[in-house]
Amino acid sequence: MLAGNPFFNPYSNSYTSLQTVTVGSGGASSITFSSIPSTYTHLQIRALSQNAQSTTGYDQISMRFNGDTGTNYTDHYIIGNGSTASANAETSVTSIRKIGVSGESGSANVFGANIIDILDYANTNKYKTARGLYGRDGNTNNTDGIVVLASGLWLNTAAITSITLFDITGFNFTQNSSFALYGVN
Amino acid sequence: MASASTYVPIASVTLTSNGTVSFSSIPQTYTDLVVVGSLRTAYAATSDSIALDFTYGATEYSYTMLRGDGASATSTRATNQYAIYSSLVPAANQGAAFGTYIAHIFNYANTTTYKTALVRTNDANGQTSAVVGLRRNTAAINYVEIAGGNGAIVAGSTVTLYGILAA
Repeated sequence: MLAGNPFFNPYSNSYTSLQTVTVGSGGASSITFSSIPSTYTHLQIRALSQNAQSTTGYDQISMRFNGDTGTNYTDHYIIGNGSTASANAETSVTSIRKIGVSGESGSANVFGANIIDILDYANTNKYKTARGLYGRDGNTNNTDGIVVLASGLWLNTAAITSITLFDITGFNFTQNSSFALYGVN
Repeated sequence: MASASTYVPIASVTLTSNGTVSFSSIPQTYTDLVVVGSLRTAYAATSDSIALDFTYGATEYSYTMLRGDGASATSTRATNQYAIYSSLVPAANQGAAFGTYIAHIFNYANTTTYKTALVRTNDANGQTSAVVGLRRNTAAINYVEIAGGNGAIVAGSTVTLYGILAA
């Protein structure tokens, strides 16, 4: 059931909705899932997101764990923008900087879609790894689509008890953006 | 804090003859839909694309694709399409090989936003793709169709539709 994994037994009772945040009319500068129980094997976030930037492109979503704002994260990703495929990586950054995407509000009704898997999040012997599958398509021209396979690492062995998501350029998430956290066993 | 398990099979199809797969009268009670397929098409080639649509006949779809074939990665895009096309699954020239097709359709029942889907495919011939697709229509989705881009989906292919319900 993880993003891209085809084989899933729906009768195993192993996919549980934990928390959902739907952004109201005032917008939200960040989304935090807190007090995450350590009783699951993996976590998955499914999100549909738009930010308040008035242009018509997209901005990526960053993620932090347990409120850690130190330079304790790395990330890498491969991006398709409709004309080229490219890859990049970052080290010693203060978040997993490009784990998701928002559509910009200049394109009304267009949101970014995101699936983020956080593996073995409660294990205290491992650095924590996350991966993202995300994309946004605006259907207006040939320059505003993006689809990405991303991965990130938190160089910390602590169990993850909170997750914060925020816009990489600092804009608010807009109304009707929704973020749902699931536990996977 | 936690609710009951919420990843629910809605319907499943195993094709007994070549054709398309469609799901109609989809309940509006879930948050997201997931389509999981083990597919091959009858197209006389090595690989074929798969078309995902919710309102056949309307050119209201666009998509952006990222694709790797074992040697290079490429990206393509198209607008004003009849469906969200994704590469690639095996076609007739791969014999009994079937590919995987997984489409996540977000917030399908809301009537406020255009509908976005994320699709992943894998082809036994060594190709893989990730696709984001948009239906430029705010209507709720109650119908999903999966079809071969150039040939019919072959008998023996299986497609299951799941619903995910957020708390």
